[in-house]
Amino acid sequence: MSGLVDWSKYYGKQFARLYGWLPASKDFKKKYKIKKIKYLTLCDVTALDIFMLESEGILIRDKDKFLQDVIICEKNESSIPAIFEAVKPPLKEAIIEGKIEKLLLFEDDNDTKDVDIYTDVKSKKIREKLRLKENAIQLKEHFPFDIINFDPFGNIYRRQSELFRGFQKIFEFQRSKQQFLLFLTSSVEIGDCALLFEEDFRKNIVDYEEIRILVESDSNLRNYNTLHDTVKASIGISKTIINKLAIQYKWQSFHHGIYVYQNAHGRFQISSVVEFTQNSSLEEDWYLKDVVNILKNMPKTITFEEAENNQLIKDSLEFIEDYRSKIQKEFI
Amino acid sequence: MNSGNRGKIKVADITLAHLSRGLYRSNATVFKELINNAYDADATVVRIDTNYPHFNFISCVDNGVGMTEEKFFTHFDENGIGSSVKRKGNTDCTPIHNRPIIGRLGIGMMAIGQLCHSFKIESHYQNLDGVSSAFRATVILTDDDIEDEEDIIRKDNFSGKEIDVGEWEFEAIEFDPNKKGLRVYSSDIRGTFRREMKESLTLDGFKKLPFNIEEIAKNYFYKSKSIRDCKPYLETIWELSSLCPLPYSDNDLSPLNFHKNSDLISDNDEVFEFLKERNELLESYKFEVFFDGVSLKRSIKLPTEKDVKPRIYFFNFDKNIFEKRLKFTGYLFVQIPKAIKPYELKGLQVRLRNVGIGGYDPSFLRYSRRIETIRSQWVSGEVFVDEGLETALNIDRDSFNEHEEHFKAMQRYLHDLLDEIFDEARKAAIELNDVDHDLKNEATNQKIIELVESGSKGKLSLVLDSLNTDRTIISDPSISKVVLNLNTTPIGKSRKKGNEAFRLSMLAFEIAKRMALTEEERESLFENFLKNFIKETI
Repeated sequence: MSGLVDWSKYYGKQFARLYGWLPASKDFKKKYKIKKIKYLTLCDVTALDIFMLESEGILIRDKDKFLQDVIICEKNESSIPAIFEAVKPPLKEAIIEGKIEKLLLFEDDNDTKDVDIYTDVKSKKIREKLRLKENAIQLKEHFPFDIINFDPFGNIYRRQSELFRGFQKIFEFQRSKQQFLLFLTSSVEIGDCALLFEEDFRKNIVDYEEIRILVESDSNLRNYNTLHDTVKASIGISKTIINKLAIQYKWQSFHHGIYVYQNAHGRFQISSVVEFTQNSSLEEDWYLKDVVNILKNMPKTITFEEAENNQLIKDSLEFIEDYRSKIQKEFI
Repeated sequence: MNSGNRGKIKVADITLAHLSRGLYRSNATVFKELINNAYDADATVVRIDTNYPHFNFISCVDNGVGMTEEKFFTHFDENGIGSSVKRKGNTDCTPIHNRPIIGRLGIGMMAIGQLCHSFKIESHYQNLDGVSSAFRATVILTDDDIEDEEDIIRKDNFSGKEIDVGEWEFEAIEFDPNKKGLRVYSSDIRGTFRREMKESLTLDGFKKLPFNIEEIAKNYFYKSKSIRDCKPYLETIWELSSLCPLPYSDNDLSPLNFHKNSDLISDNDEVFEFLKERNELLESYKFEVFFDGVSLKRSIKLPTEKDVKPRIYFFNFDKNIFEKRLKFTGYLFVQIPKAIKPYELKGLQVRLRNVGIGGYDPSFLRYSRRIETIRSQWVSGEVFVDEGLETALNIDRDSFNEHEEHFKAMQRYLHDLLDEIFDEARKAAIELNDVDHDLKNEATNQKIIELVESGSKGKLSLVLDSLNTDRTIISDPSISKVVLNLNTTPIGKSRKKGNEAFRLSMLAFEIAKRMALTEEERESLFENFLKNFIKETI
């Protein structure tokens, strides 16, 4: 089977965009009266998320038609030209090359400290470090963002992984914002997920009366073992990773939704849409409220076939592609 | 060694090692090589990106046929760089778009090595029969265990053979029809390139550059004395748009519209027909080049100055020179009597197979029959060489071996033509200068009259009566006007100004003297007149 993704037919992902990312972004922009949304994305070469948000007036071009407030991180060098080509006009300072986790975690060492980034060092290894440093500095300078679309390749839930540690950094770098919106997308490896989150789930039931009552009144939640693995995983990511990080870094979270979809190879992806606010005016029970919110309302799941047969999703994807073509033509 | 020995002359591998270390004059000539490769591969679009304004990533992506694995190995493993002959047998044109093949040795891809320490190649090859393959390769030119060329040469046991100029890694990958073509890219960019490009950021308005070559040309290129003033980034765009085998812009930045200039004198109207046909031919090749999103076109705006007499000369040469055909056609445009701006448009642009070689040559292939310092600055032209001259082309494809017979023949022909053109330009300039001089005098005189009339507060007639003996001022009672005698031949610009200042002082003094009743009033009037004259006239 071909490993290549046909993004124009990846309706599952469009399900998350259409029902998750888009309405949450609209609400966020309206609620906080933000004129220019600053957006960080790890979009693929089609940049569908960017064009969707632009077509709905969430991302705005300046009078010279530059999308000034969009930053794209791309790990794959060979995709950068295609992104340049897709997102018109070519964005100044927009595309930062490198793995997001490596960029977020970069720290100077003896090879890079006090070295001019334009130095032509003979060692390729050191040149790579210097390049990473430069890109990491660039990315850091762009923080904070209003919306972060953290959609890396891989899964987020291994706490020792670079990806997880990099993800953590976001909560530090966003410190100067009062609020931001996060789309967190992760692939799911079912076995690991189930084990990782069960303990946390059971502890919640013991610690919080409201959760216990909710679980007892819900036939699906009552028996944890009967839950579908993707449900366990998606709730787990939100409860055990996102909410716990919010507590650790003194943010409070509110989940707009969790969207589970399948790719053409049958693998499940989870996309959580979460709003964070600084918790200086802390609502003490925000954690409980959000967990109850998650358990009551989430996730929304769609299979590959269901997504493929959903006309609304197909039409919306087509609309974005048409819009993208229109914009791209303006710059030919 | 015995006398009478004979042998073959060979080239040491070290010679080819230079290819990866810097053969090219400018950034644009490096990119030009990659673009030429895309053109030869029948690509319809090639995109070069530099990740402006960071310049930490360079890519060249085309949608041509791509490169086969075999070709990669021939190039990088078996025979070495420069071994992939592009014009085997009688193959002289590309199979799909019938373009005259530009490359000869297959060294163009290594050009990017001048801008980076390592680069990657990704090819998704598909031929006309649908056979496909794909690979990705990394080429490393600078690393701890790769010796510098200088160190190799200085070794005692250096033989010139078996030179490793770098390393490569090859990986076969799945063919992706959406990526058909060749991608050459690097994020391991040389600091020198980055620094140089970064300098461009100091240019006013640089951060809001338009994505349109016509606007760039009008707002930057044709507003500058020299393209160098536009800084390296725009210089690269200028050079590329000028050198690549591309059609002209559609509007007034095209020689196709020269004939719309009603003042243009043409020795032969065939020139317009030729330019039109040539442009249609280039358009039929369906080749587009984008540089950081800017679609490049040849943007030639002539005349570059107002109030000039434009002339155009057509030439067409087709002869056998030393049993090989040399065929070239072109035009020379003259704007009398003002220098062409920017400087880089002056001279002669030789195009071999439609590709510009070395930019506009302001020396006109070393024209030295007469000193034509001034008039040579009025001329800009293009020579399209369709057959011959290729053996004169140096390996950088950016200059010629000037002792080669075809080059010599072209040089002789063009210099003969230039002799005539410079003669005609000289005569035209003299005529123009005479007319111009009279017109200027008239305008200056009129100005003086107006100033005197406004400054004399109605006492002009009194002044006129007493002025007619002064050598500086000529009064004409029949028209009741005062005119300034400007018949002195100026020597040099400052001398001319000095003379004028002197005359104006005299004029102010004489008028004040005749109008004033008191010494005090005379001084005041003198000062006022002088101030007005100097301000308005000089």
